[in-house]
Amino acid sequence: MPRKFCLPLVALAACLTAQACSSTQANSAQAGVYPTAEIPCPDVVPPGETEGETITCGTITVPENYDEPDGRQIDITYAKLHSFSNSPASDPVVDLRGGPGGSAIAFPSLEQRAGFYTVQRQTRDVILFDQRGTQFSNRLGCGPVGYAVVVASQDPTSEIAQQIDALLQQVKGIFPEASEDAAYAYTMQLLCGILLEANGADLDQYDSPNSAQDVVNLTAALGYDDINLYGISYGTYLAQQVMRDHPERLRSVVLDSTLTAHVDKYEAIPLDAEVAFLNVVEDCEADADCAAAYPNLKQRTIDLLAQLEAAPIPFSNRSEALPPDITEVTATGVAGVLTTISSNPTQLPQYVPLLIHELEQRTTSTLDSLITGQLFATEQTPPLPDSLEAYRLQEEQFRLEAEKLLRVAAQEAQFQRPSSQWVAQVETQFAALPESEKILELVNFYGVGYQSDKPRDRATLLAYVKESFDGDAAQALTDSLSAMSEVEVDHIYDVISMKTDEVFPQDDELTIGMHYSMDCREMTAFSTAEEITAAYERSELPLLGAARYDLALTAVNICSLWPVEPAPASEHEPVESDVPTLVLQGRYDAITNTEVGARVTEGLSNSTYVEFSSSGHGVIAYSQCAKDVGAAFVANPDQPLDMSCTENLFPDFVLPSSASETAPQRASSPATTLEAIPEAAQTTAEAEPTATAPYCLLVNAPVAVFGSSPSAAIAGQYQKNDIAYATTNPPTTQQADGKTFIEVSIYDGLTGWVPRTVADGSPALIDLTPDQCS
Amino acid sequence: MTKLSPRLAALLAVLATGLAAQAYSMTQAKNFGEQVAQASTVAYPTTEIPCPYPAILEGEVYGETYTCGILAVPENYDEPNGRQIELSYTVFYSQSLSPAPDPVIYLHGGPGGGSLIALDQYSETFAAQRRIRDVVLFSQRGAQFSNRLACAPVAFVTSIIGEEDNEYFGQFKELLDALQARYPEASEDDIYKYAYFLLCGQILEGQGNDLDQYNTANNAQDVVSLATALGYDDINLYGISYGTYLAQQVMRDYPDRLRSVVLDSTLPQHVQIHEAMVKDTEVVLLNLIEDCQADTACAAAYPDLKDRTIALVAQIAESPTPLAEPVPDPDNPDETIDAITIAQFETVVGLLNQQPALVSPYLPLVIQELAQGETATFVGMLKGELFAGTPTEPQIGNEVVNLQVEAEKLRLEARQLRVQQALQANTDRPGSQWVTQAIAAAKALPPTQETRVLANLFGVGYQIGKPRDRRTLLAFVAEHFEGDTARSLREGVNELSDIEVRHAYEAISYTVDQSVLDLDGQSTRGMYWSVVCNDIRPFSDPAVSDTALADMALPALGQSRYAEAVDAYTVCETWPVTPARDRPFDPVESTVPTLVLQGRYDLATTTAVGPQVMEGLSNGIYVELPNAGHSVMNFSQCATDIGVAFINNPDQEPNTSCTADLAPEFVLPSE
Repeated sequence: MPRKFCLPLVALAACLTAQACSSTQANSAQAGVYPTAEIPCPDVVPPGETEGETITCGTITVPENYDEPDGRQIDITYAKLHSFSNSPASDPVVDLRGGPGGSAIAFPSLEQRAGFYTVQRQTRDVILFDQRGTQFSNRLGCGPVGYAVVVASQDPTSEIAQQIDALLQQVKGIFPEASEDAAYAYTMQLLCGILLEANGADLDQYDSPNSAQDVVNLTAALGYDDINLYGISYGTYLAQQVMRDHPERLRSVVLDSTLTAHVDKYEAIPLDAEVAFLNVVEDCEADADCAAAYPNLKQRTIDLLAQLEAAPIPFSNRSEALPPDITEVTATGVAGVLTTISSNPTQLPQYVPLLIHELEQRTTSTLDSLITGQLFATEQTPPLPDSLEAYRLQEEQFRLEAEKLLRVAAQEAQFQRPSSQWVAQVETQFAALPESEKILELVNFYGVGYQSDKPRDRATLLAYVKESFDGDAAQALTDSLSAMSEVEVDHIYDVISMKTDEVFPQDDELTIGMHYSMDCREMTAFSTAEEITAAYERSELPLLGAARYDLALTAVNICSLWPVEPAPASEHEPVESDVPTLVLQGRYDAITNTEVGARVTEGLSNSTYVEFSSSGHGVIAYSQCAKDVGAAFVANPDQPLDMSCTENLFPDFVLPSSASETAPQRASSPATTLEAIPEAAQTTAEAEPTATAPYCLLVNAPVAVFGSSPSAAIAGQYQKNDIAYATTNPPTTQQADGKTFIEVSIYDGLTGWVPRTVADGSPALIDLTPDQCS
Repeated sequence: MTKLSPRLAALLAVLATGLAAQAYSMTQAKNFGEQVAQASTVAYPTTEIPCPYPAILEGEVYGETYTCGILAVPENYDEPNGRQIELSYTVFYSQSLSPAPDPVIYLHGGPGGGSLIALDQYSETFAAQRRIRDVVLFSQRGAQFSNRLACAPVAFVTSIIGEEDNEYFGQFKELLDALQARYPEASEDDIYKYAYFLLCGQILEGQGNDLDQYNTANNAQDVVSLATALGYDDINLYGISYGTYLAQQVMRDYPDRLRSVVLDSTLPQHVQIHEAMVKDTEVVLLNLIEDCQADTACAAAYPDLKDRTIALVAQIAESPTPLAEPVPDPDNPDETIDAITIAQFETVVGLLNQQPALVSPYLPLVIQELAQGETATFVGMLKGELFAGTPTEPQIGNEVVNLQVEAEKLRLEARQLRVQQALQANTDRPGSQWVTQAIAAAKALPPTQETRVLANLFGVGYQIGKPRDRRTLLAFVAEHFEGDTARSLREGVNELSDIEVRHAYEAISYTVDQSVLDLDGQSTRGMYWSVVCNDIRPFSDPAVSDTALADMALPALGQSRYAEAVDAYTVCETWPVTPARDRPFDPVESTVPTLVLQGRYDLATTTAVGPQVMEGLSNGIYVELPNAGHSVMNFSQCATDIGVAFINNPDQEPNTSCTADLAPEFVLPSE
């Protein structure tokens, strides 16, 4: 049977030369009236929720370009979390996810996102939605670029290989000083932009003003008049856009970890880690005991790093657990530790003054136990048998077990959908092929939603079947596709996109095409490389900002290639608003730092600004205090807030121990227990600086990642051949359900727990040596 | 007003208190006047104490998530340095770390009801409010844990001296005869009841209580005194039943302190309740008929239901409907019922108030059947078989369900453990231990002394001129015991802390309610009659009650409530308070945002009564809940949530769409 590869990128060349890539799709939507439809939730519904009763998913169809109401239409997917009250308030909370490009519905999970709003749901509905261009809302993924690379690598003489090479040369011409790796990375982004435009997307339309309009159109279509916004990270920027454009719809706004509209983001981020660190120093100075024990901490840190840069020091009394390849304490290593304050804001800061104090004296015990994970190890004493606590724990255990099973059942239900089954049916056709052919077939299939000028509809799938198969197979696939509902046909593209994330995971956390469309239009547009460098040079602790500085320069370079127009200067003005607004800011937030977040209040005549110590980016994830303050504000935006709980969040700084080798003393009360589930990184490619060589594990079988404990909600999933990074070296482990769980870093400080074995007892993780990590 | 001869009064005092014969007379009429209530700026002292009753509270930690305490206020606010009384309260702290500044203060009904006896229940009932704000409960003055004015100790003594072989029987009989002469139509049981209430009022006065001070205006001042003492400025009120009457008083006297008010099952201050109550059962039954007629299927299946009901009630009243087979009497296991009397019919209608959702669907069918002489559904209802349903067996084999069942089992086991621990903790309190020891000591006495000493123990907080303090307990010991027993009990008293001495009196009360005579458990009678006779009864006219009864469409259904009205008229004649006749008797005028919740099948404050409160409320919202009896909060999450939504945002009309789902689904006759 002759097989012809229908590459989604073959049409690219024509598109590039003809400059006529936009499609003209007829539609019937009238201006201002946007149809909604309820659909099965596209991803796993959290345990305890009942679709149609406690949670409803759906889509609203809006024009890609609001100025062309009859032009191309896109579907925005939402999830409505119904209020627990039988008498809900009329105005919902609308969650605005960060990124840009993060999915509220899928990443890390609907369950985690819904968990932020348990208190709010006591009184009102909560609306989550995937912003235009993200996961379930006309996704602008860059993962499919990987398919082009696969094809090119199979045949270096192919047309696509030549196109990629031509682009690479072009990029090298633009960035003569870029490394080979960087130039290649830029080329891939350039290719992604070209691909998305060829597919029909008008990337200029994926901007905050349109998203803001989507917010009001969606909520109006769902029957809400006034709304409350809860924005996190980039979501706060979007919230400011709604405040600018649609103030009449807003009852209240919560800005959690604010990206202030008139701040130059990329000039601010090289200072993020330094600002967070200096806030720790400030909190120490405000604590009488800490201030007395560690005077002049900032200058001492500057001096310490300078000394270490000149001459690293050896580890004294090395613990056995310390990896052998860590031989000495370097300035970069210590700076790396200090940049993780934002990722572990509830535990790490209390040791920071002690750490510096010890290193000055060439004592490395705290650093040692920080690297090995001993520092945060906690001992739990089991409750007495037959005690109330024992019953409570066991009851909790059963409840969590039941929840786990419900999660598995929900996953299975997704898999049983006709769309998922159809995708599996297609994949079965390739099972018998030799590996090289199989890869090309899969690439061809997974790229089906990214073909030039082909909409993500039934006809495109039918055409794909016709081109790729014949005989009984073609007939069977055509039949089942023809019998499928519209909703399931649409969902085929979602399923494929999730498959793509498994192979090329760059869109998993943030949908990259959407991310750059917004970021390039609205962020890099207002900063040049020179300005960024000038800002970075103002650092007092430049080692802390090096990674973010590089990230900023990379963003500027990529954006110079990304095909969108910069935003007008008017969008870079302070937002003037008298809508009641609560501004929540984590003191140790190193993604939108306190100096960035606080500035949003400049234009707000009716705002309350609250800082939370021991909190990183996305304060809602770090304390019940933050959740409750937010809920109290939304419950009554005009009433003064009780913010006394923030006083309990300051770190319990560890003082130097008088006795040499005994446990350090605490300054005051025991540490506050806080959850650690930060908002997704606002920018991509966050380097995770670390003082130690990572401990890596190869994922041997698909396995779930649980959140704050082995019995917590699923925070994500590893696919086979993923590399998992343990939080510590050697790994931190915990026993649960008769299995050993390893604590892993998922992304930007989010940690989770992965079982070492899968259900049948076979290993889920294979230990790697440090040099195997990449 | 009946005046007892001084001789009789003194005699009965001797009987009731056992010993302390002290001459006293009926209280002099006091110039009650209109009390000018001043905004309470005085901070009365509070003391945190262990909760007076074992609290079985899941996830609650005393001192962290809730606390209990007492507030000392003057019995008479006009005499701030006079007798002081202690009001018991509980604060359930908000579960929010950023609570709203204004709490919900719950006003219990009765008058004389209680809430601190059921903290676990209220912790659940107010769970949704607590997510936003603190919730405060308190025992109103004279009720359960706030200088309790109980009548059971007196009634218990009269049950002893009412035995013919008792030495005081003759004298007690004289009192009964005098009352019978005055109320020739009253039954023997009623006369007996009037006798012990008469004695109770006099004993309470003799004990030092100024019963005129147990009135609604003082209760209202207590509300703001408590709020001020606990540090709250604005407050929200949630009143139920008499608590709504009290809430109206706060609206009258202290509007500046109120952010919002919920009136659940309202007794409007300007309604002549003892006249209106005669028709209560009829109003509820007619509401049910109206609900059936509003339902197309029900109306079609049961045409002319009202007329048929009127005919049926008249018929049953005339001659009970015979049953084919006798049915065991649910109230009296030794007896059987062989015909449906009007009283039994009224009992079934009365179930609408308690279990409306179970009963209402069947009532049209019951009426239709009875009209045809069929009794199957009625009997099913009487026996409870109709509501038994089929127990749902958990599915075996479904792992999720099994785990959930296991978790639920553990939750129940943990709850059981908590119950035991709480009860044990209460039993272990020194105050309770002492009472247990005293009861054991009394039971060890010869039978002739045992009853008398027990009666005196149960009445130890109710002796003439004796406060509820350590000395009174010591005097009791000295009076009744000797030797080692006396020494041991005396030492026990001396070792008690002041709080435990206080608790000993509570433990005695609790023992009486639980195992001797439950007269005050639902509503502390002395407080009840003081408030009713002070504030409420004076505005009703017995003659109008008579007319109301005569005017009823279903007069046979008015008899029992009419009898209750007569009780009030009668008891108040001898209850030692001065009626507040010159108090304003007009609707409460208020602009405070107020939510009025009314159950359609509420038999205590009916739809004919409750909505009248709206007359004076310029900012009131009235919500009627189908299939709900008295205290709608207890009948549906819908009602609870509407209350919470209103208090969260008193200026926004709450979403009441959930009430539509509450309407009865009437059972139609099978073909």
